[in-house]
Amino acid sequence: MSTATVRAPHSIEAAVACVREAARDGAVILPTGCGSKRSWANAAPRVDVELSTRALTGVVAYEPGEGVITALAGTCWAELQELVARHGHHLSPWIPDPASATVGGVVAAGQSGADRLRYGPLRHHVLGMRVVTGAGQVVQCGGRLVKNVTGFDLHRLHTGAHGTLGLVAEVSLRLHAAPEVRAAGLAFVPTRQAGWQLAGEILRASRLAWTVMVHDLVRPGQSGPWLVAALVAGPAPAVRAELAALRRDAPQLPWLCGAPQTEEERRAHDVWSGIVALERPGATWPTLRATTLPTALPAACDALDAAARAQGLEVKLVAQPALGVVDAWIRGLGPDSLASLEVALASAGARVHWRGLPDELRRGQDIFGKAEPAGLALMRRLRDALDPRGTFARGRLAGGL
Amino acid sequence: MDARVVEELRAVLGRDGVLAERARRTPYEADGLAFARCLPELVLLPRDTRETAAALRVLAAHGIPVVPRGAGTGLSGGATPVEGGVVIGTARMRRILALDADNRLARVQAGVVNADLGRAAARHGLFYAPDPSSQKACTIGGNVGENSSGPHGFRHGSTTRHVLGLVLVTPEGDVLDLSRPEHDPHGYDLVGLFVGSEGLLGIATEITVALLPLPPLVETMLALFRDLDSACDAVSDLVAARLEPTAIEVLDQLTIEAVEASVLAAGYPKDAAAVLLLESEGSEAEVASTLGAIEPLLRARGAFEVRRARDELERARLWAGRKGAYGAMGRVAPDLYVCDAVVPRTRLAEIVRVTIAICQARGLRVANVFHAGDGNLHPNIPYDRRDAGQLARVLEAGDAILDAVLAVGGSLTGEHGVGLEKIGAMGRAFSPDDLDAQCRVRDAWDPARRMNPGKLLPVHACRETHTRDPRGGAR
Repeated sequence: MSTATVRAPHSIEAAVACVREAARDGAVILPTGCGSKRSWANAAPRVDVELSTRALTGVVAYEPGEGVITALAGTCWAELQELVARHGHHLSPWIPDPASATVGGVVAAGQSGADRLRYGPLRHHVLGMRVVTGAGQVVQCGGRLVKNVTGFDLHRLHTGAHGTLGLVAEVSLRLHAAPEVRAAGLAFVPTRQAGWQLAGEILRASRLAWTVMVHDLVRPGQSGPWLVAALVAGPAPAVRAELAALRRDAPQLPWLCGAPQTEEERRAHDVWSGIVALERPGATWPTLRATTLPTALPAACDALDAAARAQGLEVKLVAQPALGVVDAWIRGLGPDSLASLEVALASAGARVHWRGLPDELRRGQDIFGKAEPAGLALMRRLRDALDPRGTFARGRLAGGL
Repeated sequence: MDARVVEELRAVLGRDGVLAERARRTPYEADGLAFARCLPELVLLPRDTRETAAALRVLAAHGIPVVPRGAGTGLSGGATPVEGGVVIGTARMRRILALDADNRLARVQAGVVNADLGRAAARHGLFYAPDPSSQKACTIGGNVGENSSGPHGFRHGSTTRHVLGLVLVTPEGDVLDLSRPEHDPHGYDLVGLFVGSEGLLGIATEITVALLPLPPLVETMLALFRDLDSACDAVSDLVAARLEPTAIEVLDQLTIEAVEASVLAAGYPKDAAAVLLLESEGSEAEVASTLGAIEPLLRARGAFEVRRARDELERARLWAGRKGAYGAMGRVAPDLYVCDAVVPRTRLAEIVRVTIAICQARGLRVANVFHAGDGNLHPNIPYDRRDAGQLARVLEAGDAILDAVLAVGGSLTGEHGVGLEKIGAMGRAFSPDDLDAQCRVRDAWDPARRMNPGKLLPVHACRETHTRDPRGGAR
């Protein structure tokens, strides 16, 4: 990887030239943005050229009255968020570190955000894209309209493909109305079981929840507080009415609405901001994301806890009960413990995805777990059809794709 | 059809699963695109995934083309049979296999009718969001094939947003189980690609869909305008103001007249040149705040009356009238050509004017009833297919409308699909490189190109785009 040449074209045409040159020379390309999610995919066995989109920046089209934005792949996510916010729009996904993420990187990594409960996964917001293929063609997939069923939805293939099918060069995204008001609720509960119960009460009472999380703030084996954190957002009267209902149905949860006034509210606000940004002591540890059906999540968390304890690992969990997702920050991992955690989760019916593993652990691992994805043979045929010469680095996704 | 093939198919589907007599095949010779007709060699009606796979293996062995079909309500000819081919229908796959209220999902066979799933979900306080106008007849499998939508797609999106997993049978007859609901796909998003692939990639036999909690309150609002332009401009204003009701529909005067003269008469005012039908759902405060913000914008654009449905009965009647508008047009002419295109929402009034002018210039009437909030136009042209000259003018108008739509950055179809109807326009919407990528994907799934041939993708061989209009005549 360290010997790869880095290219950073300033235009799609220049990117095409880079790809054609690489294809001519038989070189293998790894598309990159800021590189913040490189560890979300497997290490590519061979990379000759890193094709960075960092210079491929700019908004191509944004008409606020239409509610759609189109930007070149290297455009910074935070810049887009700020631009659309000035016109009353919200750009989903709401991700932890937007200043170090690019549009192309978010889309290629299939990154969803803390607003997923309300707006759905990233793939629901991607309306279309332009992609540079391994043959150096520029292919339009989808379009720039909020509704469109013309042709195959090829943009669905490229979303989350980590650039294995081509370079995502330009993306069109659907925007949402920015909420007038956001209100955060935070409560400490004595057990995780109490956390599930409180989260369930919030979810039953809320239509405007952006996120509801159950946080494990303690080390395994210790008793201590679990944190339930929720955020609701929307038009001011609707949020106020919902908070009234939540205060009735889940009275143990204090809610902050608007700027924090008291010292206690400021502290709670800081905790909430930290949760959103995931700026916690464990944030630099490798993360295991396990996903399953919402009803199976408590059992998956228990299995994960038990396996981590057996391995003597330090682990912090952040669960999103409505989505069936738990992120576990884990310290002290070795190759054996990776495998045993995967086995424990698989037996609880959960899928795994490792993120942030150090290179020495990532090499030789399939960070998507050992189970092959259904339809792998067909996926290989699709990849070979779209990039027959293997111009884009392979082996980065599940099953060696 | 070779008698040996028929016997092989009867061996796997039983006698009731193979319709060979001409009289029983005739109902399948067209879908909602009435002027395109072709008698299928056979109609096959498997009961489940296993039978579908067995039938497809027999057909693959003999190289026989296959056209999948749900209820046949599609409007783009996606289920029109092809010469020498068979139709595989899902009419005997009507079971709801599981309804998991705790995880808010359902697993259904492909032939389950959209409205039946809605009724089953409602018993658990849930609903299935995509609501095509044909929802009393159309199937979930057909909705998957076309990535269907409906009035409430403005808030809830098209079918693709609600499909969590699929069991599908490949053109060779292999079963691919993608039914495990995935948070995010591991590997490529095959389910996302399959939805809306119009039967070119195989047959979905089981579908896992997301269900949503029924809202505590739903309110429907009517706004009456003296001209269609103002109604369209009001919609552009609502979108620009980022208001998010669940539905924003426009009905013009001809549509209202037809509905009000039919059994579906809903009380739409006949003195309005256009009506906006809006709906909002949520808590009482949410609905009040949304509709409260909408009303002044409507009045600023000249709405001379804005009122809310008095009760659930009136609400149901207004929607029955809206969804029955295509059927009601039967009073105007024996046939109806339902155009489907999407334009930027900032240019609604301009393009609606253009579509009316295009039809008037050809001596045709046009009724507009459409999903305005999504920019999804449906200029409906009444005609009589027995009049060949009139049919030719209708098709010419349809093409001219698509050209006008493409010229402003619009798309060929928002929910009806390309099918047979718009295949000739694909070369105007996409470059040869764009189409080449789509053909590569199709060939990776179906190298023999036996699934629904002649639909969606222009015939591509060595990157030569086919230029003959499949509806007859050269373009």
